[in-house]
Amino acid sequence: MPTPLLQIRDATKVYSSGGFLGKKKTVVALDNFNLTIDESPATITTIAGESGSGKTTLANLVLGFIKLTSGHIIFDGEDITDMSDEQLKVYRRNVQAVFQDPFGVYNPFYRIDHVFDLVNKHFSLSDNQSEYRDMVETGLNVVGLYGEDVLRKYPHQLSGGQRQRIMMARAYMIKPRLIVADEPVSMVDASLRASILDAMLRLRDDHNISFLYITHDLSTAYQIGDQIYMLYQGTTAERGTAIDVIDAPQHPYVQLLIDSVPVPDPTDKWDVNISLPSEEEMRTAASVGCRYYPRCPHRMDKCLEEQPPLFKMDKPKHEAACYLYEENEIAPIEPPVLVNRPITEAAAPSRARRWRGAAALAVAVIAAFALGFAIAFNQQPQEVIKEVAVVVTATPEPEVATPVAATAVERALETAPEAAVEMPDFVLSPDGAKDKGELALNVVTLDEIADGADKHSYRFTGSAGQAVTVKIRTGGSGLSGGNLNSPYGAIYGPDGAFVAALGDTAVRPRRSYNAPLTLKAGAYTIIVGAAEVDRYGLVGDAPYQVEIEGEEPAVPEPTPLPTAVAQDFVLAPEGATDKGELALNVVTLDEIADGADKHSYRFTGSAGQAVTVKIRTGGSGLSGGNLNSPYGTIYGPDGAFVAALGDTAVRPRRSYNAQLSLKSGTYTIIVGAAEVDRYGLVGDAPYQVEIEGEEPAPEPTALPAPAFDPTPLPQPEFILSPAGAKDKGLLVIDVVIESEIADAEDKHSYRFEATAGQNVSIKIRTGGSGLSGGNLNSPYGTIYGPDGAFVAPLGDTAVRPRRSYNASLTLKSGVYTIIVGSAQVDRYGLVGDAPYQLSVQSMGA
Amino acid sequence: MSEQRNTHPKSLPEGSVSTRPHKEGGTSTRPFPPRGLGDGGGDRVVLKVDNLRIHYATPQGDVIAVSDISFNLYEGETLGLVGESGCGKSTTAYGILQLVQPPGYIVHGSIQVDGTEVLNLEEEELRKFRWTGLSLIPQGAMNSLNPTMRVKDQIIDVIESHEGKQKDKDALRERIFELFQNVGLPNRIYNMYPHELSGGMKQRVCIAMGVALHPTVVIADEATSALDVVVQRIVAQTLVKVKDEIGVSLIVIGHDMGLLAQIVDRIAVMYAGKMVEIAPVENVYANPLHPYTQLLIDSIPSIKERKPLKITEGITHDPRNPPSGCIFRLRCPFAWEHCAEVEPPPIYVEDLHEVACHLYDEQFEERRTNAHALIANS
Repeated sequence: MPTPLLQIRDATKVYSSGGFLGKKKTVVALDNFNLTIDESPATITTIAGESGSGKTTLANLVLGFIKLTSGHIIFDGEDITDMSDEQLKVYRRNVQAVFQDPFGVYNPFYRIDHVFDLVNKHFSLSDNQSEYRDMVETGLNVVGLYGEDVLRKYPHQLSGGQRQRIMMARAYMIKPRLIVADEPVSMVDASLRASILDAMLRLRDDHNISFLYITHDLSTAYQIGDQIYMLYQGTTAERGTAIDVIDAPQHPYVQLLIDSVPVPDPTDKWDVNISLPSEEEMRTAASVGCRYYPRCPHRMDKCLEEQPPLFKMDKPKHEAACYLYEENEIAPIEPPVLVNRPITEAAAPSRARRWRGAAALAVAVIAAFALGFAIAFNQQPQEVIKEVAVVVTATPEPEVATPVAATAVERALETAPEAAVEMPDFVLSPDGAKDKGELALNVVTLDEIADGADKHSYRFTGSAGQAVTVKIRTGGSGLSGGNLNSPYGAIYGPDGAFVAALGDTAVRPRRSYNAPLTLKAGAYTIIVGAAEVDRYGLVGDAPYQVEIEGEEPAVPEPTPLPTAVAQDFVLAPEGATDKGELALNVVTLDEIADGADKHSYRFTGSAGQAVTVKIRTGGSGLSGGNLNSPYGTIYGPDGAFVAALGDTAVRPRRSYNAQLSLKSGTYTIIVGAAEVDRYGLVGDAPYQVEIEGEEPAPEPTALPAPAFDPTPLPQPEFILSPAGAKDKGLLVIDVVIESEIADAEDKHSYRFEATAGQNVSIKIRTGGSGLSGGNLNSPYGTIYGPDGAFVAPLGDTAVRPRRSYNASLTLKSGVYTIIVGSAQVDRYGLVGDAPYQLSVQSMGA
Repeated sequence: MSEQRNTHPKSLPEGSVSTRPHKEGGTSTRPFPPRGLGDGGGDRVVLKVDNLRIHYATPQGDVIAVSDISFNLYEGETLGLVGESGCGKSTTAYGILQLVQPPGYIVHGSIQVDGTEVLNLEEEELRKFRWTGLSLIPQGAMNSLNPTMRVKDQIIDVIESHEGKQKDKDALRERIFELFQNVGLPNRIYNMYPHELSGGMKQRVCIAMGVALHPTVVIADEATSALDVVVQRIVAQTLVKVKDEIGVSLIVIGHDMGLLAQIVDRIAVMYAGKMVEIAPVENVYANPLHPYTQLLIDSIPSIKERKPLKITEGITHDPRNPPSGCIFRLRCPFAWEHCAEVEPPPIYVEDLHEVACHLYDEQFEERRTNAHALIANS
């Protein structure tokens, strides 16, 4: 089971005030709260509730602004209270925040680019100015903004929606794994909220960033949320998928809350005036039992006795804390998954380990007690465990002991961990799939599912232990014209067994899905098709991209020499007589005079050169029948021990070979008596030494062997062909040409001459008031090289038309051609009839 | 919703261009639209705002906050004023109350409450007129209470400042209890301080103060926007209930289209200082005419169905130099040359429904048909 990204267990936060002279007042902001966010796929987990329900406390806890009173926040298997400074630094990078107020977080005296400069300074993202600019631009593009539109502006010149998206872009640049978004849309105008929500979806789907989305606005949670936790006064009243909870709330408080969300339809008005909560001042009164008791229309006596646990509802993962569902099963609290820290850091036992130890001890104690009781009283073991739990709870230090014991009991109560692999919600069978051939590593393949019956089959070969990510992508403007179809796939292993699903049946279709895999050796199969599980009924007919991302498998290393044997003896080079350089494939004969005699040889290796170093002695020809073992030690160019020549086997060997893959540099071989021979026959032995191998290839070693092809550019979403384009003549470097596309049929062709190695930026600009009277048409162009081959697109099919597009190129020598026209891909239907400016600007050589 | 738009355009009444019935006459005899919550209402105009223009002076030139807006408020009516922040809706409210603070100033216009021209009132008359003729429940009202005064003292202060020292303390207390009952507050808060009350209760104290002197018009500026949904619902319902019981007319300023749908009778939509559409609430939701109104309605997130997000860019023009012609044309998906040349006049489409958009000019009927076909297809 993979380690979840974020696990919160038994988290309690108590604020206290006073207590010095007056009576101490305490407010429980968060009470034994549990939450899990899975590592992959990324999700948006909503925390919803009224003010005072503890949702902002939770955000501040996860962000590390405040400390828990008790309980655990575990990120990536590591309790954040136990993290070293170094780990905390990494944690703070991984967990970023976007806050409610899009006005307050900016310094009004600085332009927007200052925000990014600060990030770069603080997190040292890049020293290279142009690389850094690209990072900023990429970050802004991810949230649907463009640098030229915003970077040089002051905060007050941007809308609230733009400001919030800039905060998301800022967070994105740090490449976090979790963004805590505390009411990110509540201060932004309704007409601009969708852009922020869309940015969140893009970060989730395309960049695998999870969100802890804190809000009181249930409608946005309903639109984009995956999981939802409804908080009431610091406890979870109800949780489940956002759709399940909001469509069919189970807890009385959540029912009231959802009923109170105003419906934007004047014909569907609130039918009853709800009773005024005269109990508002009783908010913190219920310290025992259900917090909602004073306001609950269904309250029972039982509700006052004990706080209700979460009971399971009909839908999976849907749980509500209300005794109305007492007959349902109690939802278990999953034990936290922790990652063991390396032992080297065990200077002080971490609290997490202590806690684990305590938990294990508790389980052991309880189990022992339980067994004893069970034998003694012939009772049901589970009941006994419950009783023991009560006993344990009543022991001293209840504040600490209670959660631990409770968790331990729950774990003890659970049966053996479920071994069954969690089956995905859908599996596409390979039957009837069209073979689409072999997938190469890191190459994006684009294809399209024709209809619900269409299935495609891909193969790829895995090496043992190779780590890859299988990616599928669809939706977005370039691919499906805006429909958000979830792509679905299934991966089968070399044995034909199902390995992983590509896609899920999340409530809202995802635009992309990644499956990280560790491969076995053999051929894998990927089936892509419509899984017919989409709630929107939009499956089928979707273009998609599929890619296997990963490193080429490492060159199969020869089974390592038994180093344990090699270390039985080592001959130090000290005191060795230099016997000169060894030539390749030439046998050198010499003789060790006595136990103190040592010989040193040198030879030069080239990088990657494979040689066998051989030593031979004994046998009739050499030493007159005495079977002395030859001993030697090989040192590398850096002086470090590389391999032994010889071993301390029971019977002396007459020869010994060491196979080496050399680095570049001078190796040293020391030959002598190792004084380890059981026969006591060392010394006084003639020997032969030889380096056997091929001459290194004459190529200079400087050229790095291309491990794999560079990732090819993703296929541009459009290409304008030069056919039928009007020739508009030669472009002069740094001179802006202004022209206008008359209609969708109109295409213009420009040429410019390039010298090898010249760096240029080709710019196209349109839209904006000056050019097209306000319509934001995307400019589109395509650049062809001197050989007539496609070089780069000018423009893209991003969701929003761009006013300008730059392509930075390093040129070859020859005449390049630029075709400008309408690409007919614009979502706004505004292509054609657009004035544009075009220029080739020199960026030096 | 798109289906309803599909059937659009509806046939416009004869001579629909630029007829503004309420601009000419002081009162309108138009039948009042069907009421939502509450009953009653009439066709008597209690507040008449005409050609109101408010600027904020800045060193770089005046910012036009409210640009020549006109509307009527009928007796017993609840009018919603919506728009994004900075569109001038709060400035309009403060203008009506003569509370615009420098550097803001009223350039021209007329504001009549029950026939009284507010702009002509002297300072002392104006002070008396507030609370009795016009009252305001300000934005973030819960923070507007004086934290050092008991609730009762704050309400007594309002009453005595207008009606003089009250001799009969018992009658005064009874009167306050009656107010409490109107807004659903328990009598025990009489002696409490504001910090002892919850946000919803403080908000209701503000409503009680706002209606204490039975003003003709109450303006609630984002009265519920800082509250949780349950409390928001209670406060909103209190507001409507009090309005009906006391018989005031109400202007509710807000940005939550869902909440407004629940409580108002008519909606006026503002964009960048202009009023772009004003119509009975049912019309606005079922059949929004102005492209900006359509955008607002489309962007209401629903908890009934999931739908693809409708993303729009907020291109903000320089408020000192608004674009020529239509104020919305930079964001409008249907804008054409005419929109840059001529500022759209308010077009009277049907009963109480006006829209300031060239698409509803009869001579551009073809464009309107195309525009609605485009909406239907997208």
